[in-house]
Amino acid sequence: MVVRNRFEAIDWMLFGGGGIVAALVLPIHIIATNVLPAFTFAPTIFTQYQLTAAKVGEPLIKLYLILVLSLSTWHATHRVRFILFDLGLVKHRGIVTQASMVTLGAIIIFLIIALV
Amino acid sequence: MEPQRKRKQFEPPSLWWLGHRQYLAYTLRELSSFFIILYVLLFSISMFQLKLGEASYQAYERLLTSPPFIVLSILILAFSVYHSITWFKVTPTALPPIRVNGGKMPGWVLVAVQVYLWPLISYVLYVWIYAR
Repeated sequence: MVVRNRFEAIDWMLFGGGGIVAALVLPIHIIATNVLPAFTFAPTIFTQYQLTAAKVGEPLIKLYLILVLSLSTWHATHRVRFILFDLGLVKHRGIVTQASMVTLGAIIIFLIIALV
Repeated sequence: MEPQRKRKQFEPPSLWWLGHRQYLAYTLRELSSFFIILYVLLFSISMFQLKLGEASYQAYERLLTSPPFIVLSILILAFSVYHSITWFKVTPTALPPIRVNGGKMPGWVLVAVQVYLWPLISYVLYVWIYAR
């Protein structure tokens, strides 16, 4: 019970932190990496291999991206898990929780492998 | 001692979220998180392609700039912005109260601070990471 409460406290802390981070920084990342490259006039380095590789190779940027994207994913999987409960999957609470944790872990591990 | 009876788990009626405009707005707000997960996944794939070399990265970039992916990217951006706006609005109730000089900071101040910080942080990040 104590362990569960401790986990819930950490979960809520990361959920809140991830919410702030995702709200403040994700839109500009999406614009720079996914939306602007579609337009040839876009002044973003993301379309150029050499510049992107050099920039992403900087340790501080790697660390920043891993932290920000992991926290955002934590926040997002938490919310998706609870909306799935609300949409009627509450009777499969255990399976949904396990699936969301596996998804969260897999995405963070893949992100770290891709960046490090 | 009377044995404890197991409480029945509340099950909402199916399609309850279509019953009222506010329920639908709530469901969309929560589902906006799905697009955040999708973005992190797409970004991780792009970084993995970058690791594989120039040819792989350029191939992925070509895919990203194809019409279906442009539509998907705009959808991801729209839901992310919706997530940001709705999150700013709920922070006064979602976060513990912030005390300044012994008094509780009003909720609207917290919302205003985030709304003002949002473009500033976005500009700084763009210049730091993405600008040519």
